[in-house]
Amino acid sequence: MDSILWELEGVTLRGTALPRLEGVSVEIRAGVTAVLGPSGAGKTSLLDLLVEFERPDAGTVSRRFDVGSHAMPVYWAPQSGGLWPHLNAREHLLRVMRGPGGVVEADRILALFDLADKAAAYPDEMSQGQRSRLSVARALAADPVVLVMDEPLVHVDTAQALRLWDVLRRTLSERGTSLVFATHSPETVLAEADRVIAIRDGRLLYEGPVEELYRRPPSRELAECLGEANWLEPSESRLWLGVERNEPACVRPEQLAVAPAQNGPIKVKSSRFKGGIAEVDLVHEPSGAVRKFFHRPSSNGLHAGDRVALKLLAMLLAVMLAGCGGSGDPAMKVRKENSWQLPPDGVMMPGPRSVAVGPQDETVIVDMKGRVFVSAENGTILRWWRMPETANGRPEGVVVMKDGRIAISDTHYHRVLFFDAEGKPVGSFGKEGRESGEFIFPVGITQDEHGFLYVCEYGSNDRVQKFTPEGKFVLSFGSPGTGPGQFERPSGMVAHGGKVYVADAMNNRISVFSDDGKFLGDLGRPERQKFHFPYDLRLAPDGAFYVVEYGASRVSKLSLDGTLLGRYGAPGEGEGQFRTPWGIAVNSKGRIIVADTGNHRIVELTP
Amino acid sequence: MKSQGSSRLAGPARPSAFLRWFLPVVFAVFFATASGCGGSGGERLVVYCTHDAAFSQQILDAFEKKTGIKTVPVFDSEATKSLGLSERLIREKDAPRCDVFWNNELLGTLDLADRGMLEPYKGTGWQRIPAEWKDDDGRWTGFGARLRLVIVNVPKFREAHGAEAQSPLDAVVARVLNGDLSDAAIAKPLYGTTLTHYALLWQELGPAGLKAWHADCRKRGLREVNGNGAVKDLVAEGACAFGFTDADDYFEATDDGKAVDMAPVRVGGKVICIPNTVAVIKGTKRLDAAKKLADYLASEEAELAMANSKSRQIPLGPVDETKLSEDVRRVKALAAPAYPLKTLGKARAECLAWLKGEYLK
Amino acid sequence: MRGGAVAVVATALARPLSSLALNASGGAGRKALLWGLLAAPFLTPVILVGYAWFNFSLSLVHHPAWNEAFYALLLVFKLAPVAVLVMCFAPTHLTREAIHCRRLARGGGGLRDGLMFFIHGPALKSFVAGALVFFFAFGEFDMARLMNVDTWTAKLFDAQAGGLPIVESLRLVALPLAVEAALLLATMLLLFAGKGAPHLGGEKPRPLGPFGRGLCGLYLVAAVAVVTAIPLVIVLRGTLAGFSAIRFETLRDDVLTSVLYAAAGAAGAFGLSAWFTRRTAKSVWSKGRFVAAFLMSVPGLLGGLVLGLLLLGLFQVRPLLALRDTPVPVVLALMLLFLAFAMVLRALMDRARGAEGLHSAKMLLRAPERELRRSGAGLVWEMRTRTLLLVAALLFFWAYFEVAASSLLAPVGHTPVFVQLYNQMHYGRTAALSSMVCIVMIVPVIAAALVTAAGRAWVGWSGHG
Repeated sequence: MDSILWELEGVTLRGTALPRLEGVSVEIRAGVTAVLGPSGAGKTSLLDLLVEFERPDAGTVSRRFDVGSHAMPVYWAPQSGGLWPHLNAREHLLRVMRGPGGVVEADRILALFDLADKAAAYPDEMSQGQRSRLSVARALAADPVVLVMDEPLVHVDTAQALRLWDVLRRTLSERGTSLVFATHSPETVLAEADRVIAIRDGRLLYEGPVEELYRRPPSRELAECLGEANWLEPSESRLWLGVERNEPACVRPEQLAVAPAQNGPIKVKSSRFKGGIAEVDLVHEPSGAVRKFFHRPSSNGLHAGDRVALKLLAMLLAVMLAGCGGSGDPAMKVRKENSWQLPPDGVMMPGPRSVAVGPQDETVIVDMKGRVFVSAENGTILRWWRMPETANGRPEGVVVMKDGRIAISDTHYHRVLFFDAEGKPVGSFGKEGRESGEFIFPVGITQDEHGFLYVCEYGSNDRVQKFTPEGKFVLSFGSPGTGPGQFERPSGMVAHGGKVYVADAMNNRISVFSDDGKFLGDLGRPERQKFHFPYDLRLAPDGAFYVVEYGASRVSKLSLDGTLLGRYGAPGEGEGQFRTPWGIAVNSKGRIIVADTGNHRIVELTP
Repeated sequence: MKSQGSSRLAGPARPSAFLRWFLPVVFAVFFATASGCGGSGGERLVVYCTHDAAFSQQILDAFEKKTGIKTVPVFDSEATKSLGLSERLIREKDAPRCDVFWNNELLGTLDLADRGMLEPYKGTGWQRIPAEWKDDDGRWTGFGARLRLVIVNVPKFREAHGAEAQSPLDAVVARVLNGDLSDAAIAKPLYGTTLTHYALLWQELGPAGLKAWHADCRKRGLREVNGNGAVKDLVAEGACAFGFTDADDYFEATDDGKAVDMAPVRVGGKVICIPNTVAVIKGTKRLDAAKKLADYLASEEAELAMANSKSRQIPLGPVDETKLSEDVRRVKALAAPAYPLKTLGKARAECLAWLKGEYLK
Repeated sequence: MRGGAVAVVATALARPLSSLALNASGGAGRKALLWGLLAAPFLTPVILVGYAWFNFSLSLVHHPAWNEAFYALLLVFKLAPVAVLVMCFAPTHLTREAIHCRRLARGGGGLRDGLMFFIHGPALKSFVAGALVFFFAFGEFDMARLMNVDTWTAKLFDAQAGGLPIVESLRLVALPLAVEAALLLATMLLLFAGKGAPHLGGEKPRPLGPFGRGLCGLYLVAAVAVVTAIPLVIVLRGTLAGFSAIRFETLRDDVLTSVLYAAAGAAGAFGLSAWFTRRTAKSVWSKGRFVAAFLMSVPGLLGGLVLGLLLLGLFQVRPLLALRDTPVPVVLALMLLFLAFAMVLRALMDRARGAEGLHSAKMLLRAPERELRRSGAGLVWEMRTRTLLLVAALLFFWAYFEVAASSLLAPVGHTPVFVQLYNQMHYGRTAALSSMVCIVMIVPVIAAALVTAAGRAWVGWSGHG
């Protein structure tokens, strides 16, 4: 469980005509929480309550955290900026900062927010964008446990805003500061937040992980909170997709392909290209039904009159079918399950992301905060260190090499880092790019019996590259796509017996290649395996594969030929449950170690 | 989570901490002090006094020194002058807090006597004052009087009247009766000694006569200002050639070295001589002390003190003439025969009623 | 009529003056000087001004129209700062951009539309400014009386001669009171209704050209000279010589009495207005509270004399009689007298300052470290408390120099010092009087300085808490 920052109970805030908030009960947790809703939904009111700018007319707001080593419990950047008209920019920062070295530090922060030349300027001498940057800079300088920001950087141009979000993210993570921010931008929520609180008309609609809301929104209204979505009632699924279902489903544009189909019943009425997403109006000729769909744009475009068919990309089908009746899967036997948590980081309780096992069965864990832990089998932390840089993002893959070095794919720095067993950096390779030996976002990493390293990556350049143990490029295979031998976010691998098994997460399959890059086919029959975002896999000493499924919150056991042997786990927080598990490892005794990311714990299963 | 980090929020916001602290302190100090000074208890005689504070305070101090009776004077205020202390006494009739009323004129006191608000007392003071300056029943006693007069700016007057100004009084009389009054001034007749002046004319000329005279004066440009002091200033500074005022104002101008002269106003050959009056308020809880003050104010000592003050009041009872200044002896000589103001009670009421109608149009 | 004319002229003058004040360049010292010059005429007690020009006004006795004009001029000089203050600090719903948008779109919209626009935009500030000036000009009495100018207040004063039943007095003030009450209601509605509107800060009027600046400068010098400097010189000359003649013990007690009345009255008005304008950060005013606020403000519009008479009558009634000889009546009168202004000032202040900025400062008070708490307390002081104290000081100032109600209601033997001085002024100037006036005028300044110092000390001390 992550720590709770605030607990709101039955909170009501009166307004002119209608209440601004009505009976809101919610827990706000540590981490980054977005408060999402349209204008006038009550976002600002909610934040105002957290910072005690307003008091509830009914109900209570309880703060549940301590200041700790931070300077103050809460600070904010209100929508209006809340600046002090009689102070210049530098003074704004100095007044909220503690300790010596004030001016230098203040100027450093101002520079981070492109306000270096405005240090002596007063708010009324600044543009709106500058004022909103100063407000955020001041909030950061205040070093609170929790930062509350109302539509931060909203007056800042997009390019600059993206860069400033980076600054913000980096600083928050350096200091272990939680963030609660209001926004109406789904993109910002998806990019920045761990959890989301959706409100509308002063009422709470949803609270939970962003990913959850994106993938499995409970209603059409909530689905649309996070951007374009195709909400399909069961009858519509049948009509347009030919899929039988009992419940409505949310199909995101990237999960839907609109492909040409010579004699299909569906005709394009009109089509609009909108960058990353395309919009198409379709007519189902037999029934005369007309409907708009959002989808990933196809390369050659659609034209009015084209005949098309709608295709769910494989993984979604799995989800949908899983919803109907995936209960016939064999169960995997687990004799014992125990779990433990990583040490907290400030008030944060970062979840583990990736796990690997070393020669002495020590477990290496990389967490959401970019910390690397080496632990004994019982969960005792033997040593730990931080990744040298984490501002841009945290690493996602780890392997303990045969020579004892630990290789970590430093995803957002486009490289692989080597550490010795003690955590000392001993080398790296790779840089940003699409050429051989370069990476966009390297994720999974593994080593074969001969010592070769395989690194898979995503980010519109989805592929696997093979390197020597020293990091020299050998070869590369695969390309982005849904076709055979193509990848949609390959995220975990096993290299064994001259073959490379790749967990092709979005395509919901395990693809098999020879170690010289030849595509050999899928492992087993994906339509039977019904994976839901297989994120990682490992080969156990007994010769079975264990696959961890991020989407289905479970571990699947497969034979070497891909036959499903058993499954364990369901979404939840209790025993036998996982939440968005990310990584998996198996030690020499056959014990399975799962990075149960969403539950912020390591789960050990003894089969 | 540690409990000390928790906080609960409910209910309305509170004002700034400093003011939360500041306001109660102000109130606390205030009421602490107020409780110390509130109330008129003890042997403190409450005196409503319309005579100039500067002069009357000295006399009350002398009284206190002599008798040990402390007095708390409430002076007439310019800010509420129209209302006057006699009006306040009437308003406080049912629960009087005043013990002794020292009025600087007579007609207001007459009104109170008529309303039965005054305690009859024929003490030593009353006994030494001649009958024409006191109430037969002892309800009030007159003392220290002043003359109603015309103040003349000599150079200005000479400028206007040339040789005949050798006897300004005649010229003034001529002007007042039937001449240009645009450089003459009078106070608004609604209060003070100007009201007495008008009431007297009401009685002498009759209502119709006064109204005609008043209208005629206005037509001839008589300037009306707020108070005798303003009349004096106008004449002393030369903005007007002459005006109607009181002797004390005239002396103020001469004390300032202004080139002014004066002549008493005469109606039917009689001067207007306005006494101070003292009366004991009916229902006072400090009757003995009040009587002592009434006696003292009408005593020779008090009359001499007032005569020798800057306002140069004319003693009404017998005094040692050698102790009087030249100025006082001069006005005292002019002060007879005096118009019997005691008879003006009714005229004052009628005249005021008419005047208010006139001025509030 | 005169009140209206003065309001219009003062408001018209306020436009360029507020531009001058807000666009002032140069150091803090220069700005402070400019604001000082602007505010000085308003802060000069009205009785001082009337008293100083009493003789000059008398010399105009043959030219009543000139006297009238001179009186109006003095009023404009004295009251223009009020309008300037409103112009500078009252926010409107409309930005300059919004006004320009309207200009661009001219041609669309009918007369009604244009009128509504005008009411919400440019007229709002001018209206509030004009209304405030009008309140002062319309209810002015002391100067009018000293200068022998006919006003309804002077007439009301005269009507009291020889006694006037209170009902009759009320009947006389009914019409002016109705005018004032209507204006007050409109002003309060405008100020309170817009509370929920977002604060639009940083709006500056267009800067003046050199010619305009020169004219404004000339005006400032003239106003300060006529209303402040000359009266001060006249009243205070001979001050030093007079000190020896003062009975310091009596004066000390009287001043203390005055300070206590004024402080309690001002604190009462301030506290009440705070309660009425209280809000939870952004929530709207309740109708009940608004009506209560308005009704409580109306008695103050009666003016000191009538209100004093009313209370005098009230405290004759049996259960209240016990309080008659306490400071309660006079404090109550002072409180009611200045409640309307307190209310308008607070509402203005609340609207002028950014609540978010203030809260940003208050949040520092939660820091465990004293250094940060002190920084927060300092910010709160600079942004709120100091301004609040300024309002409180202004109320104190007015209460301290109030005469009519104070002289009627003060407990026997504890007459406020300014009432006494005021009486004495009518009997002519003396060196001792000048010295006393000097001391009496310095007292509120010292009091304000003390309270400010206390506030500062509190800022330091609050770091402990």
